[in-house]
Amino acid sequence: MKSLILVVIFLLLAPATSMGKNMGSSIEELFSLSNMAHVDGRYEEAIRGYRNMEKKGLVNPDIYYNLANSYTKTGKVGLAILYYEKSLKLSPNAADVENNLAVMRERIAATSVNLDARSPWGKLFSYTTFKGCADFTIFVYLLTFCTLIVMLLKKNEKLRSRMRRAGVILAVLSSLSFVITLINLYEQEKVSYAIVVGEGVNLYEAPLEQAASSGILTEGSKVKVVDDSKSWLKVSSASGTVGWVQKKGVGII
Amino acid sequence: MINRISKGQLPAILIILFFLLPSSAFGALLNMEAYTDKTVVSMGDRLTLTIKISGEVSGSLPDPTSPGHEGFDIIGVPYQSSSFSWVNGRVSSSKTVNFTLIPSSEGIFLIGQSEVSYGGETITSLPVEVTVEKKEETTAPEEDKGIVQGMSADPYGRVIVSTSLSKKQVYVGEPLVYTFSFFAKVRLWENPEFSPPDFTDFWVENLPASKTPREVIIKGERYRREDIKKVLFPAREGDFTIDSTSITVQLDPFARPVVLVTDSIELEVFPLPAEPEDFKGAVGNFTIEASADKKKVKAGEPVTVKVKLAGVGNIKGLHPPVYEESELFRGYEPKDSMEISMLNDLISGIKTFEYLFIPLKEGEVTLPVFSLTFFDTAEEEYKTVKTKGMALTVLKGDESQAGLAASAQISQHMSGNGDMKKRLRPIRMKSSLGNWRPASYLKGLSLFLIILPPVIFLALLYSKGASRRKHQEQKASLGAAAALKIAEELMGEGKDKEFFAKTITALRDYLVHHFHLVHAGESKDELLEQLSKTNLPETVLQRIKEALEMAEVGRFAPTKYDETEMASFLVDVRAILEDCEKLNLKKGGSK
Repeated sequence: MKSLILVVIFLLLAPATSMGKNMGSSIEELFSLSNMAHVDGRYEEAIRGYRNMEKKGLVNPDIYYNLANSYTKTGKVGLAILYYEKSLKLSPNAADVENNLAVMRERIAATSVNLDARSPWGKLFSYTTFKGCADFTIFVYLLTFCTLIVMLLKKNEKLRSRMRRAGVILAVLSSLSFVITLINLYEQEKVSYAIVVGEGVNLYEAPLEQAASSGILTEGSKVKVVDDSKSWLKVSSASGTVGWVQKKGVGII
Repeated sequence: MINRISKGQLPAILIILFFLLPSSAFGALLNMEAYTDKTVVSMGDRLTLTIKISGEVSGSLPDPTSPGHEGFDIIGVPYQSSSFSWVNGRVSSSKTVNFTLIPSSEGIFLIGQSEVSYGGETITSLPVEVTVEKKEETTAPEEDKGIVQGMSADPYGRVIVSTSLSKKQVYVGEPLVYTFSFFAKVRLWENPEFSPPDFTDFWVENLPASKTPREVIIKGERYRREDIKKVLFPAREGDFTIDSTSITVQLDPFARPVVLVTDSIELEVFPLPAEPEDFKGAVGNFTIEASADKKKVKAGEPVTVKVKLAGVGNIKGLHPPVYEESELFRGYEPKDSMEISMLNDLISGIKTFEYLFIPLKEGEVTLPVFSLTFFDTAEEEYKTVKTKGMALTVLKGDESQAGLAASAQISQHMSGNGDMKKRLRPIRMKSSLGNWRPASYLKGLSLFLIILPPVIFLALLYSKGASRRKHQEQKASLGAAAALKIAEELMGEGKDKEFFAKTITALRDYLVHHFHLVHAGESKDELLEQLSKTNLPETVLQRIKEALEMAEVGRFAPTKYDETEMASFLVDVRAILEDCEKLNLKKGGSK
């Protein structure tokens, strides 16, 4: 019976791992080629490469950071800031991202008004990332079941008892970790910000091109997304001005 | 008849009679009059016509007919009120009906003639003479000194809107104030909706709206005035048109909303004259002053210099004042703070830049002189303002201490501002390239890994249970075989009672373990009931029942059984066990 289970596990795992490997290798190749293009000064080519990876559905702070660096080199300040922010959202406190973001903000003399208004829960979990929490939860979850499986396989009653206790503790830990992961995800998703990627994007008083403009947003400035309506976003600028911008003029972090 | 009226009904009848009698008796005492709140009105003005019916009568008074209103239109629904009084035994009633009229043409008109029929008589009110004059053009309130254009009012002058610009000719970057004013002399049903014009080509600063409306007099009538102000900074030269502005006003819930549209306003923006080299876009009139936090420092220790730019103009857009770099100091980029205020349509304020300098050499030195070049719009020329040179005594420094102090202060200074000399960090050459998307955890390998462990756990749990059951069954077979062997020996010894006891125990134990009968109990009936719930064939069940009964008789009956009878019984029991083994039955299966 045990051998049958092992065979089933192997058969189930084999295609999944090999599939992951194939997909991974093409992404790794693309990442490497894009990096080479950036190092050689072929920034547009590097941007295309990183963007291709993004289009494949890959959400990764390293790709965002490198893409931001390539945009920086091509003078696209708004897009550079957008991707630095995206990278920082996934991996907070990354020193290189924070440094480059500060340099870019300085370049556009962006106001350093803090738009972030995190809840007490948000502040508590501001040093954790969704990825970190999710990985930890999965790890503890797997460990819980491994412990329980060993408990079933072992005949020594003393060892079985120890495994049972460990399994219960791990189950509680994985449940807690799961809750923290959900809070983290909620905190990340409930408030969204955007970066102005166009030059001098108009802030309208209504989601209409004919509507009056209530100001101009400078490229690279960070705005808080308040509402969404078709091709328009209602945003609040650092100075507190609320208005509508066309989605094509901003990028959501 | 009186006898038929109960005691309770009598007072009610008396009250009705009391109210009915006077009305018929005093019908002739009814009066009717018509009057207006004004006798001279302008076109567009409202007039209130009141018809009052009164008299020493009780009960409800009739409604008057619609009054004559030649030259006027009645707006809305008439407002009606009634009163009743009883003083010293005299009853009096009155009814007042108010009509709101608006002149439809100029001239002298007789209005308000109305009739009322009461007690068989018709009473008519006397008409009132009202003169309707031509409406004079509404002018802006005197206190609006700006260039007022695009004024618009509703046909009756109830609400007026106007727009104005503080200047009609400005330079690029020179602030001007756009004011939208709303005047109302009537109460509004709901707050109006303001649609500001398009301010493309201008940087716009919204000014806070006044919290309470001002009272102004226009043509002798009292209006409430509310202003919406925006400061505009022209971003480029040229002739511009500030588009018309509209506002929707709901005066009463039953009427259509009034939409007032102002005219557009022309504006001329001049280019700035040839710009000096150090000009960075400051337009207005500014002063500069600087102060240092220390007059004496050790070499290597930082000095903070605050440079204040104050004045009227585009404060927000002011760049840091420039200074000549010197070998005597190492300077860092400044951090800034701002205070902006608005007075008499002028944007003014203070922008403070905080510089950090580290003196590199000891001696008597002068801190850098800061300067700002701006375009003075009043005098239409560029001006440069400079700070005075500030003396600083630099002592010989303790390198390690000074270095520590400097690095701490520089770090603090930069934390609020960012070091311009910072360089971009390079790209990351290595990456795990994992997908950090939340949804990626619920597909592919991740999902598989999440599902797999519980599946394995459940499979193992099931396998463990099956194995335990099989083991129990094997144990039951072996146990039964051993017990029957002992019974055979007892049979050889002629111990019939012991033989039956052992045999039946063997059969019972076998059935309990083989069919996992947890709640079989001790009695024969309980065992049979549990067995009947399995998918054991009826024939086998019947044989078990017979064997159990036979054993009971054998154990407890006074008769002695010989070896042949016992052998036959043993064969039957063994046959039952063999049949059960063959059937490979399971507890809980269906029959």
